[in-house]
Amino acid sequence: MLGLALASFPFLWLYYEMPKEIVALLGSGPDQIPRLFGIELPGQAFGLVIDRPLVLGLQCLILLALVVINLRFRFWISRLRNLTLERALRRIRFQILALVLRFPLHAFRQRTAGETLAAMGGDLESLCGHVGDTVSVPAYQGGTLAVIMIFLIWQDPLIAAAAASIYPLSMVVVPHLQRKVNELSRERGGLMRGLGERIDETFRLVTDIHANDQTRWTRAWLGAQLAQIFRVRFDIDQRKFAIKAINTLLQQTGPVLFYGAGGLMVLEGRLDVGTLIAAIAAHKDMATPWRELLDWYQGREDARVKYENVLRLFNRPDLLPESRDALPDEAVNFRGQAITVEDLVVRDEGDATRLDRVRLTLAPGRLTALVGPSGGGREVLAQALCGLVEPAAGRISIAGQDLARLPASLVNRRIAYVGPGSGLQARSIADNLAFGLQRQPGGGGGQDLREALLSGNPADPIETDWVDYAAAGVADRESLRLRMVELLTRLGFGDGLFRLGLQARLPAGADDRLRAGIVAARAALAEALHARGLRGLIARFEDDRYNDHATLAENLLFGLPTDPAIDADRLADHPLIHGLLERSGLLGRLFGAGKTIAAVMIELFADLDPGHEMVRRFALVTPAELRHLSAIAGHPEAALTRADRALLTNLPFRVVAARHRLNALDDGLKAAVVRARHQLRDAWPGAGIARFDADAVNPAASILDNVLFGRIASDRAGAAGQVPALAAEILDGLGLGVALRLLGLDFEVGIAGARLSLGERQRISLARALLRRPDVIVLDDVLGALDSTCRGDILSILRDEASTGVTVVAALGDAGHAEGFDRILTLERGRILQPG
Amino acid sequence: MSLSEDAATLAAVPLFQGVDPARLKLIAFAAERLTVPAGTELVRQGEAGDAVYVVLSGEASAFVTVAGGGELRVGPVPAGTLFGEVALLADVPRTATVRAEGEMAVLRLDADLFFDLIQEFPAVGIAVMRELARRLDRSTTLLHSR
Repeated sequence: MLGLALASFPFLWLYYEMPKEIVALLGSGPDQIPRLFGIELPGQAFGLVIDRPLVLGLQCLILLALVVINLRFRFWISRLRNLTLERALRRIRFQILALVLRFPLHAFRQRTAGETLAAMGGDLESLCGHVGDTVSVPAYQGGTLAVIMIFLIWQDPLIAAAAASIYPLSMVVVPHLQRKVNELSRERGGLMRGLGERIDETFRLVTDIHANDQTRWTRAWLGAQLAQIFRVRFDIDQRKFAIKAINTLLQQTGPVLFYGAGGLMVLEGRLDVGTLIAAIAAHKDMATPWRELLDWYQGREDARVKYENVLRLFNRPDLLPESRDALPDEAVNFRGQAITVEDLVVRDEGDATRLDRVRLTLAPGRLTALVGPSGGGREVLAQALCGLVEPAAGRISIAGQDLARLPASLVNRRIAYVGPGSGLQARSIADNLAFGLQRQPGGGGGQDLREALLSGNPADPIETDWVDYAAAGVADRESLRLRMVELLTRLGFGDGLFRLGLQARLPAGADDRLRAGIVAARAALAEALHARGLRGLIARFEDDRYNDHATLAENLLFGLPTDPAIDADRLADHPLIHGLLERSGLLGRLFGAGKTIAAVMIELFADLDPGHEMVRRFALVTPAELRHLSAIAGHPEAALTRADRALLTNLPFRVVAARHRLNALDDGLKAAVVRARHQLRDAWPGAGIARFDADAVNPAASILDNVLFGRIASDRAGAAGQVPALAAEILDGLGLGVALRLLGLDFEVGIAGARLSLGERQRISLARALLRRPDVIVLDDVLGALDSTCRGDILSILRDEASTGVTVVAALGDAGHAEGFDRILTLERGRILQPG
Repeated sequence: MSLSEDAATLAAVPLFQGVDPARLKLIAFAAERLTVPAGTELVRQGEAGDAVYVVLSGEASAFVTVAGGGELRVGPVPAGTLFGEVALLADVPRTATVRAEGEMAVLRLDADLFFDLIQEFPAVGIAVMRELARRLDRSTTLLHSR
């Protein structure tokens, strides 16, 4: 950047020089030889007579070129500056996150995500803003200042000394004030992190805050932190202004000095007036670069404090050693090996002893239960066995190798841990199951890797397939998915997975066998219902009949919209459909029906507040719509706005005739809707609507709805329970059980798995551990959260695993759950009570 | 069947006597109207309760399973009766099985709706209390006469 800045100076000088050249040209006589930059031009060149207008044109062209060149330089310099800045930001942010991954686990009991976020935010950004300016500002402004000083010394050394005499003073005063500002900045950093911490806690404990009626106290508590931040920030602002003010004062007393000292010299005849004026002008020019330098100095000090703050926060003395990513072919094998624990001592961050000289040998292929009171050491021992807590003394070794000396990535591959903190990511079930198998990026992919390397970021592309199929003992993605289904089924999640599959839509790339199977199941279901005399339980979609159990919108489209521009609740707003409804005379009928519906809604819910729970749950309209409908209820038709008419016309689309029983949809309207359905299909057969087709799978409907090919007759007792059960039975009978469970794997579990029950989440965590075929399985307080059937299933799976040489250790909160284990160890106050 | 007709049927139910007709229409709207083929078990003894039912037309019978394993018919459930509320109010499993004798029409009010109605419209709550008290009185009389 320095080179670029230096290279730009000559062009800048030429740019300032050009006007002078032009003036010189204009001032010269017609007989003078035109000059350019002091060089006499030849009278003729390339067959052209070089006269003054031509030279003027040439000069203007050069001036234009210089403008463009200078702009290019500015562009390059600013691009370079922004690149430096953004790379620095990316680098430091990544370094912080990488350091967080190296925190010892107990550090997460003291640190919160909010705090980290606060440190990563504004502070870091301004720090990196300064990084962009580190070189350019002092180089450019300092250079300018130096040039002016040289000019002054050239004029008169005495005046130069007088002009410079101000600066030592500000060089003493300013840093002194700045020190105080730095101190305050440090405090501000701490306070901002404190705020992050409090926000974090508020989010985490929001239920408790409401349940204990602590909102008022919490408001005050948050406000108190803001008050402190306010005080410090205000103080900083004031002091920063004071620094600037002192500087300005010194700057502006300069001319007084010049007038005094210089004036005296002029009067004594030792200095001519021109020099004095020039010196004063030069001194004025010094003000801008000096102020810039001062700003730069303040920015630098600010950045330094922030950097120290961040460093202190994240560069903890107890960071775990930088872990080496183990290579995939590098392998240790713990299977069939005993684990030896020798005089293991573990202390927590408060130096309290959590494990006290524990000696133990865990034989391979056996199930060991760790029981005892909470805090007695069972959890710590379980975590220590996986290398998750660091021993203060003693060691744990497997197959003669010290666990602490092996790279963590290698150890954690062979030892699986499921604990109370195990959770799910907001991805699909399959992605969550493969979480333990993501070992290294697959081939291909990866954009901007060069930029990532320049910013010190990882060059591992995230888009590629990271799954190590061999580690799961399978050849490819399909067999891995089959294994996932098999595992989850063994863990008692098979039915749940099947249900999720029923609710899923058929993905675009699904194979034809599944498609054919679903259509076959549709026919089989109709037949089965017919055979049992229960045909009426489903109102099937029929092309020439109105379906009383489907919404009016579904009846009109005879399908489901796939184009987001088609809103099933506001079909009349869609230009094409609107035109069709108008031509077929339906628009008026719908408006009439809408008025009837509005009247009934107002009558039913009139006495309730529109925001009432019952309105929200049962009304066909939203509370806001109900409020609006009540407001326009008495208006004459002519007074209705376009939006009011559209609202009323659109109301019938959501009505299910058989369920809502509003009498708003008469037979004439229904027949007209069926006619309009046919017209719509003829006019607009293309995309946007996935139509019901008896011989094809509807991609916009769930698998279950596809098998029903109709709507469950909600007015038939027991239909809602019987029909899906029968459909599931038929699908299973057709051999589609596995295919549907595979679809269920793609279910998105939501943030922290919120869309699944606790038991389901635990089963997935367990399956995740089992999927990667570990040699040691450690379960920390997991079994207690499960029902007894599931516990039995898991125990039998663990037993199977143990028979292949896997060592199983489970910390149990309830000693009663230890039944079926080979060995039970009780830990109390960090010691093993009864060696089993 | 339209909403107004259902509301009219509800008005004839002794339980809802004294409840404002507009309310009855709301109840009819929020509830599910079910047609019940003969022989269908609407509630089964021992299962968890999730709804109450009002018989609009037709008749059902209530049965309890006795110690020997046999079934004892404890009484008819004629049109206009509310049943299934005990399991909801006392939070106990269904105390009897109710089976349709012929084709019936019933209104099914799920637990949330039932409690909403009681809270929102005191008249409904009082009606339920009156029905329960009447039944208690019947049981007491029955005990005395034995």
